[in-house]
Amino acid sequence: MKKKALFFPIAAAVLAMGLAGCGSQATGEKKAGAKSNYPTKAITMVVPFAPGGTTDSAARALAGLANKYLPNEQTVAIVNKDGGAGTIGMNDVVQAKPDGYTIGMATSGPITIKTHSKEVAYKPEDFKPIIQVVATPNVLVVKSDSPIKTYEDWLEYVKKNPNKFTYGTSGAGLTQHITMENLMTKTGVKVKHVPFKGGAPALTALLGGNLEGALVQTPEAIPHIEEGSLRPIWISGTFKPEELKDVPLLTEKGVDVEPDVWTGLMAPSKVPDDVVKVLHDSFQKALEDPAVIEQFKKIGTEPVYKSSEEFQKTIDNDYKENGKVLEAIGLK
Amino acid sequence: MESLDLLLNGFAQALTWQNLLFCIIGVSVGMFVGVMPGLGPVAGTAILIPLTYGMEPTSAIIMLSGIYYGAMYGGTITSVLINIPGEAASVITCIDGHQLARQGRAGVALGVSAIGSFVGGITALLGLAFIGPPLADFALRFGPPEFFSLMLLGLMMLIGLMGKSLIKGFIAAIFGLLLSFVGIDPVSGSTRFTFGLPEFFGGIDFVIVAMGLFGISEILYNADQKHRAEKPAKVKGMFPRKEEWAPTMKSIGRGTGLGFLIGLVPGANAVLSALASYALEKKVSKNPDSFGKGAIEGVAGPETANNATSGSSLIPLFTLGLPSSPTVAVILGAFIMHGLQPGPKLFRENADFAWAVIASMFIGNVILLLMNLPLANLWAKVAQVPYKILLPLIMMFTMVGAYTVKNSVFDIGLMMVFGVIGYFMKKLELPIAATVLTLVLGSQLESSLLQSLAISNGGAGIFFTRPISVTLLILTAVILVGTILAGMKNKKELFGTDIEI
Repeated sequence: MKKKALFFPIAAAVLAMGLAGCGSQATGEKKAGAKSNYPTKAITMVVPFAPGGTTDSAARALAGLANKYLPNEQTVAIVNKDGGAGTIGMNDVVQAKPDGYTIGMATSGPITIKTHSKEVAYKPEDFKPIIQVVATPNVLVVKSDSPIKTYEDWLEYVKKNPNKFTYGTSGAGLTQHITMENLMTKTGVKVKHVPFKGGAPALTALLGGNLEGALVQTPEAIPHIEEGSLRPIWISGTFKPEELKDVPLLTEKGVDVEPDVWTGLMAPSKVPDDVVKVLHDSFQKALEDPAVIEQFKKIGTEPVYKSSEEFQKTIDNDYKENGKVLEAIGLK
Repeated sequence: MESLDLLLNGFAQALTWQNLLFCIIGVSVGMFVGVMPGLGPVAGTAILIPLTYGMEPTSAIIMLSGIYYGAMYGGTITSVLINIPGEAASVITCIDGHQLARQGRAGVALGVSAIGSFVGGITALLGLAFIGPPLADFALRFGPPEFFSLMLLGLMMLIGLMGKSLIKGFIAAIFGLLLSFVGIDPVSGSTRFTFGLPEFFGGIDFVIVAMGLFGISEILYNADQKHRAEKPAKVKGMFPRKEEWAPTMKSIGRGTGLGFLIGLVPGANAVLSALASYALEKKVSKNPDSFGKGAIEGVAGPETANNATSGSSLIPLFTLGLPSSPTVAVILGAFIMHGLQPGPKLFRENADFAWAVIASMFIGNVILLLMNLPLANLWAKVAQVPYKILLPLIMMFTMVGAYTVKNSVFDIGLMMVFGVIGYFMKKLELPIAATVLTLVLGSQLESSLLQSLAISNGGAGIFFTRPISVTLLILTAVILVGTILAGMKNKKELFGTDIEI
């Protein structure tokens, strides 16, 4: 009886280890396609987030039309690898065979923020950027009954009341948090961070009068701004969305803080340049397809194209800037 | 009575053959993902969203919301039959539901759940249709301090699950709280207790823990004592005995009210309402000793409450555009993708659509009741399948389920580890439900505490100066003191209830 009692837990543990072993072999592709004729089979696009989110929806919109523009009409298959704030999926991309048949839909977080953490096994230079497809700025909003109406009002208020202005974000250590920390070092103001899980709960707390402001991605705030319940104060990013044309960018106010939350395609760094060029050209055409623009619009975003070279520059710059901020706030 | 006209108009739209078909597809898929361990409503809705691109917005939302409330029905089935919660809100149902199944009364447990779910779901919809907007405004007043106090009250209710020994109960509860620490620190953003594994960045997934602790451990435990003579009793119909009707209906009534109110609170989920309802039922019951041994009220109350919550949590979505749970957030995404912006504008600019969806939910609930009552007996037969056939099948389904959560083999291994832990917890009689529930509530408790303190600049006064928060805290204190006093008076009464899960 005693022996029986032990057998099953052990059997389960052995089974678990066996399964874990299988997983690590499964990612490699068997044969590399002839480069001149690339691609000769379907391309796998790893989305490092759960299905249904903005990144996933954008990836699916692109993948759905990519076969129209890829040579040999090859298709693109989406694989969702959620977990580790996007780092699990991107790690799969780094470890895939560099033949151009495994690419990843990367976002700024797992490439330029999480890579400063010791636990993440890859660095930004382990990737070759293909194309940036989406970029979203962040906007600081207050309740519409707040006395703060302009950037100047806000700056005056936070200078007079250090450590009083509370702002919600979608989570600690994410772009919005780092943006505000960067702004604090550059302007000398002091505000209080209140992290939530996602932009929507932060906005809920703001609407309920529990916070003074919130720094969220523009698509999350625009419906409430249009409804009249929230007021935009400033935008941090490289551009302004159509709906927020009158709101100032931080760079327009002389503050050098401009990271967008970007999304783009990346390949392992050893993928040959001519393969990257084929991918870039095909996805650039897909990105200009009216059907993709329409789909993007539905998920509250728009195509923001950058070439492989420009994209690389953005990544380098963000990685460096984020590193400085993370070091300053003791997260590195 | 303007709302009534609009609602009838909505019914006219929802009853077109096309929308009716999508409603049936939605609730059936919902039932299915609810039954499959690991596949929850979040994944179910998310996976189907791309299929709805080409559909009419009304049909699309009717189908997607069908998945959402359909899953609440489905989650009950596995809890009762094989003691594995199909989704988080059904953890509580395992306690008494599975006991009923062992007594050959699985049909009764499922029948009562179906009726309770129906009553809870319909009442929440009536609330959404007629008194939604003012309630939603009130719910906005629940900020981080109120939420913290509510969570504290929720933890207090865990005492009702503690079983024989309070100490063992606390060990199990604290184990769950410790598990909830793993991941990224909510305030600083640094990682903690991840053992250098990026797989732990996002925390330990509740589904994996629940399937391991409940499911795998159950298989190990049963295999261990293989020649148990106990033959499952014959299925004895699906309705309670005559004398059980009155208490059952009362439980359903209480569960509806409680679940409805909790659903309005942004961020509160169906788990909390099922837990609160179970605690309440045990408190008001004339026979609290029967809880954990197959009390019908212990199934009827929580099952009603979780459906009422999933219905009423749509109120903040429809009226304010604020999602109150991850599944509702996915539905919000679907709204936006189809060019509809939930919020005050929805009823003004897309009134036809809003009312058609609400009407379809009434229809969907009726369909689910009709599907579930006859099926209850059929499902109950599953409990009669011999263990040597049933257990390997369950093993297979849970492993597939664990993989589908994140397409990760790591999670299967993790689930196995929790299966072994669960096996020893069962041997040591540690209440597993307490671990699983504190894992769910723990991270919310922590973030709301830290959010409140950030807002108050570190002062604890924020919890005592806000009326809703202080009321909840007083309630928590009253329950605590009451329990201690009752315990001193009659030690047996407090700890005498044996919960075997």
